[in-house]
Amino acid sequence: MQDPNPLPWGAQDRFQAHFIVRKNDVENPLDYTARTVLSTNGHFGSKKITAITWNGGKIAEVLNSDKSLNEMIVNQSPDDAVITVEPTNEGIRIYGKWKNGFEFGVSKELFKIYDTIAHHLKKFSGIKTSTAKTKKQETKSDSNGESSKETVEPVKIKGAMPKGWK
Amino acid sequence: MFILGSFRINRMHDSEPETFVIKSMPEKFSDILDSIGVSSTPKEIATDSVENDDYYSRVFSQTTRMVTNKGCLDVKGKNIDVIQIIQKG
Repeated sequence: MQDPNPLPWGAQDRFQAHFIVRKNDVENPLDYTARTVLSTNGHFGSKKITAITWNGGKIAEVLNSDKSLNEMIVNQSPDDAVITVEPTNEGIRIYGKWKNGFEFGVSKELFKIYDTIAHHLKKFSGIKTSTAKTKKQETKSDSNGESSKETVEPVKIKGAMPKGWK
Repeated sequence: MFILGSFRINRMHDSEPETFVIKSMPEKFSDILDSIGVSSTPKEIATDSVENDDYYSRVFSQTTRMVTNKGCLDVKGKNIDVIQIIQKG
């Protein structure tokens, strides 16, 4: 049975994951602020999203122009479709609603949505994005690195060994 | 219980492991990300710069005032650089 008089303090069973794009010194924070506004049909369990729009600064216009992103968000549940983008001093944060310990997690589709928003944020702020092309280059450099790894000598430990060491 | 000529004793806890590893929230979240094909590394708590700063910009009204930092994860090969887990209260 649930406690009829719950304590008004202490950590609650509500969790949130902030997906952060590192960026210091955001010139105009309002430009990087956006939140989804949902158009829905039905109520309670049968509530369905019909359309979404981004409301906020300049980044909202960028996100509104990406039709495929908005289609992906429409396919989410009404709770997951509420996404907020806001800048702090250490980075731009993308997050959804609070979830309890059982519900807390991220699906493949939802992660793709967050990653696409992060891609737009990086593009908007002039940060190098992680694309398929760069990944190919990384794998190429890795394959080159394998041959070079063979020739690298192991690092020697400097300093005297303790007494009794054989 | 009698099944096809043999007796089977119904042990309730057979499927449960005798030992289990206590995991932090970033480690649990890293496992979730692994299951969807995203590689990440959970970090020691309070080692990332994002943990020492405000978690909300306060531009939006009704943002939570009291939150607890549960740690961070570094994400590899994605546009998201780091994930921070926070708890309400």
